[in-house]
Amino acid sequence: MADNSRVIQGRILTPKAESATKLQWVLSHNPEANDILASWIRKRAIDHRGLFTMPPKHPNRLPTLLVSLILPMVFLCPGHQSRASEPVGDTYREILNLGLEDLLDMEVTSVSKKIQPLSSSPAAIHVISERDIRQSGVTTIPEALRMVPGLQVARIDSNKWAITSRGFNGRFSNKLLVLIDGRSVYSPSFSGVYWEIQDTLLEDIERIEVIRGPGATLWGTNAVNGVINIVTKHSADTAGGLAVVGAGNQEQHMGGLRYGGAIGDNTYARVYVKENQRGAFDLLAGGDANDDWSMHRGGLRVDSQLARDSFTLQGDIYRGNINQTLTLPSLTGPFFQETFIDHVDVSGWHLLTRWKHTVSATSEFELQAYYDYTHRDEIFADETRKTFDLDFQHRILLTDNHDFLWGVGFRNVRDHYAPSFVAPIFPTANSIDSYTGFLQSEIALRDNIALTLGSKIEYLEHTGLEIQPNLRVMWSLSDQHKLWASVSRAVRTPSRAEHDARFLASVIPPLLPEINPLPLPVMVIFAGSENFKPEDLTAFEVGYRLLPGKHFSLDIAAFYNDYNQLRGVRAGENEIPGSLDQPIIQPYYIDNQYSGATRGYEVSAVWQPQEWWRLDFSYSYIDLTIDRDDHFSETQFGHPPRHQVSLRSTIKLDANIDLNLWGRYVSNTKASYTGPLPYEIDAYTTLDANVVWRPARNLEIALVGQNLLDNRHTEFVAEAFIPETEIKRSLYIKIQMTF
Amino acid sequence: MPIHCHLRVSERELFRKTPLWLLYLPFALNVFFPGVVAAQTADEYQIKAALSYNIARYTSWPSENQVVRFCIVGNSAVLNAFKTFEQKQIESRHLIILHVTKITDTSSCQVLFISKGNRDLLPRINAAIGTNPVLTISEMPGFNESGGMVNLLTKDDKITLYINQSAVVKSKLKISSKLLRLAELVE
Repeated sequence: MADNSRVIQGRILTPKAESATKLQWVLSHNPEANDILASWIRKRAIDHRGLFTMPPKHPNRLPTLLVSLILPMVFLCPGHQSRASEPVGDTYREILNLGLEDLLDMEVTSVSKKIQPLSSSPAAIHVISERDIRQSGVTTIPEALRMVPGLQVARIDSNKWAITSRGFNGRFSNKLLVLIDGRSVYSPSFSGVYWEIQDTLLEDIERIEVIRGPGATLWGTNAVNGVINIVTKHSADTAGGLAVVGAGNQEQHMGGLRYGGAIGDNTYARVYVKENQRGAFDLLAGGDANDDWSMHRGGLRVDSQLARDSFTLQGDIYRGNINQTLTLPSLTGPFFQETFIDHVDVSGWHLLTRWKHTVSATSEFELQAYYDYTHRDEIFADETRKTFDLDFQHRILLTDNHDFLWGVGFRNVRDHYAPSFVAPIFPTANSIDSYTGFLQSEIALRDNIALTLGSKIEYLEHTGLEIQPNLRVMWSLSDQHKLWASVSRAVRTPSRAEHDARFLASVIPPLLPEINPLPLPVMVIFAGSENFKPEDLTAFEVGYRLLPGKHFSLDIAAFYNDYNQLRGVRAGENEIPGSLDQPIIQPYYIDNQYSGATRGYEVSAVWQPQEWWRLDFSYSYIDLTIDRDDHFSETQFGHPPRHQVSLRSTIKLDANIDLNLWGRYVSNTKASYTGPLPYEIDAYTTLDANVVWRPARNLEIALVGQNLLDNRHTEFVAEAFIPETEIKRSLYIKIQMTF
Repeated sequence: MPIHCHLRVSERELFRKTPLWLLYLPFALNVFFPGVVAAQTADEYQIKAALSYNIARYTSWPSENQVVRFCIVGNSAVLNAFKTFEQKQIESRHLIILHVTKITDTSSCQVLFISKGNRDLLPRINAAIGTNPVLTISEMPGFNESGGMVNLLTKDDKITLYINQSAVVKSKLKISSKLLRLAELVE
């Protein structure tokens, strides 16, 4: 594409119809030929003498941009630049006049991502596309999620994240359901998601759909505040090879290799391997946090597509060495706590298969089964879990206006915990079954009003029957304006730990005046309870979407979430030991004493001022109130950041060079914490930037900087045991090759 | 007259008579509202729409209607690319461009374009069409193998046509040999 910057000038000597055909032939192998021809036929670019000038196709856009941003007060006529943005007029009609050979000879220009049409989903949905992931320079799924308005994403240390939607964040934030290709990665042991082990080759992710608000009806339990659905590409779309290598100060080294293609008439497959080594952060108190980590993984996906059936088989296997600094309570004085550097071994694998069958144009069903094995060995918890899950769903178009979906599911979770001083779980092994069913109707009341109503019905051994209904309305005023509203209920079921653990939160040293006058240490224990009931949410949401033109779109969602039976603790009676060499035990039993509400709104906008320049903006506001505002509720629930702002700019500087900038602001946060007070975290502003250069068609080189504004800020702290760390500035280079 | 910043000739004059900010308005308009000034260039879907139109010109249906119904499964960006040639004709038959909202309606189309990202809909589309004479065109790997007729795949920035002749014949359509010569045949 060396010719792109060339200005083509010339003179049409005989502007007559028959010579047009000849010229078409002559120029058909020149990339600019069709544009010239187009301009000529249109006669727009020709003056009265028959002279024409073709602007360079991909000029350097940096000057235009700098001028528009930095020198607005200086009068400048950027005539040549603005014209250069693209050939003017309806080139399209001329393309229509070309024959097949010429069309097949044309180069396809994949213009930067266009404004998408408005979603007609009656929920606060946001989709991260593969392009968003590539342009953002992120190296992990959690970092990609920072693009979603209304999601709270915070890094605790080098290998831990706290992620939630619409409040109640924490390492073990328990109200967000996460699925990867239909497989739940929500941990039923301590609730929440171990984000550090959730990964795949990022280049193989097709999209990440995020729904804020309850999604329990379709997606299942624990989709209380949101659902994240990570969807990888069909293996027909990943033919060929891909190699990625990179290195940096924090992203110390990374490598990935994928190969795919057809393995039969209707069958495609791919395999991949990937490795990452990431460096440690610093402790807030100073010194190395010793939280460096490495992950190795590999996987495969096979897809078979027949006329009426499709089959998918996929699996992953991973192993990781994760380091962490832990401060754990202990019975040994004088401090009654000890700090360790812990080496965590994580490993696991899964296998998933899915069969979709189309009975007729109005009826199709899907059967999915997976088995997932996961092992995690850290000082205070050594856990093995095996999950088997079977899901069936059937979709029928009952009438032209009535789409009916129903399904049933079964899940068995078998776990085993090694004995632990800090977090013993008893019984150490268990097998829990759950049964689910759901039905949902989508009814078109009129051409532009659709009603969705349905319910999930779930039976869990511990908690019995749960019904989670929802009602949603979508009103499409036009293609440009859409309104939606919903009311729904969702529940968060107790984790294994909330049921069966006796969790040592701290040890109070003996002979502390006023706190513990006794000569024995006191073990403060949070004890799980069989009586703990599911937490319960009723959510009210409204949304508005606007697409005033080709270059701008706006999406607003507001919510009021009413929570009941939120988790609290109630002090039990002291257990005084029979002898003087044993500690006193002060148990706190968990119960459902709290209720509260969150309210807020999220605004996201996309603006594409030029073909080569796109801006993605989001702002979210949230406020949390707990009905009974006491000491415990404050430390237990914290407060999410009231304001979050994200602005991403993607600029195509040149046909082969992109510049991406991403600024974020997060206002101050109160993290939930097992200490005497909630942990206050200061507001922060940060900037990521990257330049991507494609020197050849199959080669891409990216230079990425993350957290560029400072070398130390704290984003979050874990609920317990993990000393506070600060996020470092990260710089890395990545080379990607396709073959 | 498009608001262009071609002020070179009268630049000086304008400068004298007009407040400064007004001079700078065309530029601002140009940067921030490109739609006002310049239309978009030919992109992937403009070419694919043109190709689809040409492919339809080289196709004959068992019974020819007064109109050719061109149905689109895809988002509005795809639809708009096709809409531009609604004025065109194929052998004096008018084109009607339709956005598919119900899959059950696809059996009455003469041409059906299914954009990528709708892979999940293929089995239901296949079921809806059956052996009705609908020329199916798409742009995803594996489309021909699962019963699709014409596949437009991009390789090295150029589009290659792949045609599944047996699927075409099964639906009693005929594709001219001129078109077949330009395509790669897939069984």
